[in-house]
Amino acid sequence: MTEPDVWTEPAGPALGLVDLLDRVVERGVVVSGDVVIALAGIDLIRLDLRALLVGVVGRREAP
Amino acid sequence: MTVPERCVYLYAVVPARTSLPPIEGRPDIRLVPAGDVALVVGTPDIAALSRINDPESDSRELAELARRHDAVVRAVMSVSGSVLPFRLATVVADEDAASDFARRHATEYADLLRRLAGAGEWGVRITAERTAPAAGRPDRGGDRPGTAHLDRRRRELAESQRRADDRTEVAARAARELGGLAVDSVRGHGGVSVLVDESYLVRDADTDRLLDTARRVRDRLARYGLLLRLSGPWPPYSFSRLGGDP
Repeated sequence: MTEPDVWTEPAGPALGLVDLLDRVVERGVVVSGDVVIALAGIDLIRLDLRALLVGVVGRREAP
Repeated sequence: MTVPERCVYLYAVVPARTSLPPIEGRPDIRLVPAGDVALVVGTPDIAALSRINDPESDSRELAELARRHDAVVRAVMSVSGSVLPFRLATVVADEDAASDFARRHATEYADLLRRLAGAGEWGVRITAERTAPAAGRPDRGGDRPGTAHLDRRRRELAESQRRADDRTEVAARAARELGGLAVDSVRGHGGVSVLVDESYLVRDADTDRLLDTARRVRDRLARYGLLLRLSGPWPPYSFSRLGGDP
């Protein structure tokens, strides 16, 4: 990713990760239900990654 | 663990006649044709993906999965010019399942790919610093110490509210100015102290103007104790869903 110079402090890997996770977990093309795949009982498509996202980015709430 | 041997991980939708050179470090990445579009697929790291479910899982694993996913999408975008990135961890039974799914929406995806060609996604977040710059004023007091304290407190609260209102308005105006350069926008879910959280779709030809505007806006916002954070260019994660999708 290019780093435009309008980044503000504190920038760096932690906040970049927030931006990334916001996108790859909550956005992007979704596959409709009938091609859901289960791997040993794990439903990856319906997996709610939001819970994990909150855990990872919880620190975003701190100034 | 029983794993379907032919299952594939979906990275992106691309135009049908995309030519995909080998991606460094990823010999598993390949194209699956689907009519007017094609899918960029790879071999899923089942062990890593399965660990997402584990409550003990290190969040760094999720971060690593996210980076690998985004890296493949960016590599494709650099040669394709237009991509629709998939959500993380989209795994289907095999290439036929992938192709069947894509063919059902191929026309819509092809239209969306054309619309997104030559544009990039940019994230704008405006946050308030913990303490805004305050205009100090000597306390004139009242007749008695108690009154003086109440008077001062009332003034402080009113001033604080004015500053908050100003910052909200200034941030909103900044968002409108930056958004004016975009052809589309999607709101983020913000957070504590987040006044603006938007993703903008901006034509490549307007990128320089976006950066110039962002620098000006950043400096203006700083006078109000506000931080502007611009990130990008991103693959168009926020603009890749079809109308009917969740």
